[in-house]
Amino acid sequence: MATVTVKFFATVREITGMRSMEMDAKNVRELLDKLKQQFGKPFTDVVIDPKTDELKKFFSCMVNGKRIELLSRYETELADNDAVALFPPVGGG
Amino acid sequence: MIQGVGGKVIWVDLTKGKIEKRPIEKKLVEKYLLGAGYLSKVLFDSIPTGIDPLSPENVIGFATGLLTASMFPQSSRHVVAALSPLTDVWGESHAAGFWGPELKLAGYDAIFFTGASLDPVYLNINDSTVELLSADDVWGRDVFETDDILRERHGKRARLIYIGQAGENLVRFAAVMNDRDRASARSGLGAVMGSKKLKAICVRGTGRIEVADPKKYMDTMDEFYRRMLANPFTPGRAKYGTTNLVEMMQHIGRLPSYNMRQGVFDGYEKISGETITEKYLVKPRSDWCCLQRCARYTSVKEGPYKYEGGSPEYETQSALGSRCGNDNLESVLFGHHLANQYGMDTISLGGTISWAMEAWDEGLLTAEDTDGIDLSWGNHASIVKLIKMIAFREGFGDVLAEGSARAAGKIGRGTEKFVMTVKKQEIAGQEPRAQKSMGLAAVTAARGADHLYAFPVLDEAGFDDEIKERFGEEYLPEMAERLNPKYKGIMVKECEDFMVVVESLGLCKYGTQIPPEFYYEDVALAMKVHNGLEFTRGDLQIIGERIVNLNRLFNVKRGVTRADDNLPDRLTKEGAPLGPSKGEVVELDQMLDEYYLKRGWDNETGIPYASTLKRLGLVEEASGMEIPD
Repeated sequence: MATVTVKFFATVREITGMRSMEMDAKNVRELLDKLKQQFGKPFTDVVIDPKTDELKKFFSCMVNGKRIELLSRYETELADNDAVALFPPVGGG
Repeated sequence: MIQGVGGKVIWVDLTKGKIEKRPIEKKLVEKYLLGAGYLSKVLFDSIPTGIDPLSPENVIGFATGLLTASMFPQSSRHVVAALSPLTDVWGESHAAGFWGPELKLAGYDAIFFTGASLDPVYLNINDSTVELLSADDVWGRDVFETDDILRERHGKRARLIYIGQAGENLVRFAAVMNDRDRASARSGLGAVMGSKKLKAICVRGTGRIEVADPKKYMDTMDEFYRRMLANPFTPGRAKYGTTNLVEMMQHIGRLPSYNMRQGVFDGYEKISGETITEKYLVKPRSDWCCLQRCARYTSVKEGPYKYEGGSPEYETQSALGSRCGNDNLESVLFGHHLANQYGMDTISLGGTISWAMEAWDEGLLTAEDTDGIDLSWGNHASIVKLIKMIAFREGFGDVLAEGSARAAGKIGRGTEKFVMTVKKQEIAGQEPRAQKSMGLAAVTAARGADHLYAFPVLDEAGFDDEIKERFGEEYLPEMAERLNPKYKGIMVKECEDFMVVVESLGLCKYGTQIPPEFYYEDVALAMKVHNGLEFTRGDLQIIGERIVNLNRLFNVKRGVTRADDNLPDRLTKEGAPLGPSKGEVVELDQMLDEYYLKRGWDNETGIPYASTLKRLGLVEEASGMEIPD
């Protein structure tokens, strides 16, 4: 179990009502499960794809600036003081 | 016959005051489409080499796309092009709004201006009436005043393109503005209008656009609307525009800060889109048929930066904010407003001021150079003061009005190494050490440093599924990794080819590239039902390649080679000092080698091979040039 800082952005921040929070989780999947528990249906409806129980298309989760697809996806292990970012669809220039 | 277009092109000889209407040439459209492609060909043939871009010999063109004013989501766009006074090579810029659709409704697809007028003029178009009128009473006025006066005179439904004082004063990064706060900002094309004493183009069109297959057209557009509205990007884009990119870019170390010394900025939350939305947003706005709705109005209610008007987007937040070490958001908002008012590109504006700030920080510029203005990082009062001085070329503003590359050439003393440009145009808001594809895109773009010519955003947050669909699974995972240079040459080449097609249709990159909702097959279907033109995906890819190669030939004729496709040493030799991309450099040579190979260009010179030009039907255009076998 690691204590990490979870950062929320834009429309995800609107649901959580905060910029960031500290959470304990061993990996990304457990972290998302805890977020679903804490923020309930509004969070799940916006962020989670009910078919896969994973993030919806174009939502992005990064651990220390690296997206989880390049790590071990939802099984990515977390360490103390990791920064986990949860982005809604955003990009461009 | 092509449907869904105006059908006519206007040529204006400003020296003689002569106006001519010509029919649109179908053969040219079949080879280059309209919009950016059409201007590429006509101006390639019309602009002589060896001329001063601010002389009467330059030709400036304005065009709509084949799908401008259709119901395709985000189909409002027009394009402006000429020889750039900032880069001395191909200059091109685009904007959304309502001017392009209005031009098409008046029955025209493009306008070209040759020569120069002795006295200020504007072109007034009211359906079949096309006339040059005196601009004496608006010359010297800003964009908002000009808009008020000319719409009072020609009716509130008239739509306008214009320049502010920056264009009149030949600021080399002056914008062509439209619809008050929309800008064809890059390449300094506002200065070309200024050099021709052309203040504005006022358009009122009451005609109709006939589409090729009304039933299939409505069905297709209905489906496209549903797809666009259902796309997960759409709600956030409509709420935040592009302003919420600041926090994401900070998180991946791609937010240009302190003149691109680094890609992270301590004050990022203060200039973020979330903060703008919470404290300063008046309301979002939409251009013609735009479902992304990234434009918006903002206001500052009191204090020295009080204003109400168009809101900055991400590029301006980074250019006047983090790039200048400035976390005073109200000054960023107001600075953007001033840039619109005077008509300037905020990217080059912020890039030039931040060059001066770094030179000041290094002790290479002093108060003696700057008329006593303190250029310490983050001095927002100085930034705001300089914006007006640049637009009016007052004092040190006259030096900065030349852009950072020329300003450094004039000042010397080692300030040249802080110039963050490609081909003399300031690099946009993508710190390329944190996204390698953007570094390559900046050097291969025809108009000098530019993120939009290729707009290779598929690796930004890593769109694996779209990369698989558009390029093939064999390129994963490397192509989706923003720090990995592998396959970025292939990605940038393919993105350029698609983006120039999009710009030739009058569509937006939002909806085609990010979110990557519509691709070749979709736009081909739209062209069939709207224009009655049958193109396959392969046809359109060839047209895209042809336009990019013609843009390259335009530049090669003016001396551009591989040596010019280069980034500042800071980005290729010095590792990013801080943040999530710490230690990264842009592996430019590796990516360029791959890009040239994929393009069919000579690896040493960067000039297209004869075989490439033959395949694309560009042999005649290259005649008289030294082309490698």
